[in-house]
Amino acid sequence: MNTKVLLVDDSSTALLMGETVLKQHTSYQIVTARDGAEAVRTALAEKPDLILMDVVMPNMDGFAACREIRKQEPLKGVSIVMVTSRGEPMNVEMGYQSGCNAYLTKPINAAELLEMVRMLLGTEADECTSLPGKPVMREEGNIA
Amino acid sequence: MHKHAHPSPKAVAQVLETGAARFLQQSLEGTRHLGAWTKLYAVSQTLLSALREARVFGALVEICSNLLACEQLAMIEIESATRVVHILGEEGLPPERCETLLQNARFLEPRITPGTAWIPLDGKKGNSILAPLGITALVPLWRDEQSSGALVFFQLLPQHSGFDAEDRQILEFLSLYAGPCLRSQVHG
Repeated sequence: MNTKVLLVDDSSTALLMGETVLKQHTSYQIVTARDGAEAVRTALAEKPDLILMDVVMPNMDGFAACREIRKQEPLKGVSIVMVTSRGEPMNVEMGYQSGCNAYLTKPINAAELLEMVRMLLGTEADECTSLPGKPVMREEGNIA
Repeated sequence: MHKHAHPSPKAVAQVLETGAARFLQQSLEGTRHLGAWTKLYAVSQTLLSALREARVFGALVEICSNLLACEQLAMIEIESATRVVHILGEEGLPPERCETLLQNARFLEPRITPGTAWIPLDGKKGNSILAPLGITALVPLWRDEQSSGALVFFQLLPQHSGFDAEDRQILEFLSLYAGPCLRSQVHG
């Protein structure tokens, strides 16, 4: 079965960017959602292996969507990466409190995104992942 | 907005389509400059969709926020004869930034050069005037006898201390195509 990644963002530009990078350099199946509420519904329906979640979105923000997904038993193993322009320490902390596994700030570095995704999905890296870039990453529960 | 000779919406769309196809191909060909090609592809596709839906300024705001980490943006017109500044659109701009634009036409207008983005953070000659105004980039939209127009970028988000090579390619791309997209939208 194909590894599935759910991209969640209300910006078409951001979705296009993420989708292009992942489709061209991985074999993952990509599904998308445009807000937090749709993300929860899509996650339940599609059972993705990884979710890349924007924070500032209509209907339900990324933090609330992350908390909601963490309550769902069928989605217990899913990894969630916050991908957002909100890089302030308080927001990073809120992200981890909501249950995300990692936090990336926009503008997205394509190599960094691939490295993060491959690391969380446990897939092989190629030369792309050796490009410079330091994602903000920490173990759940520890403040970076 | 005063506009004269301008390419047809069809011609602008064709240029964007060709550019998007080329950027996509280049992003496929290797991982070197992957981010830059992918971003330019996303920019050209976003502008293309916006052109068709007549929402180019909204698309520019989205590009600036998501790809350049800038959430304070204005689109201005400066009348050549009077140097009066008109703010045609803005996003996230506090009143003092608007005032900065209205009061500084004499510094802004000479730096609106078609096809060339002005980046005050560069420290080049003349930048010492715009940088203290809080301006991080000036992207030309048009220049004719009646007026000139530009996109003015202010504060970047805290995690982005300046424009990198990928950002500069986007700014140069916008310097060439944002104006024609807006004009096509107005006249299309």
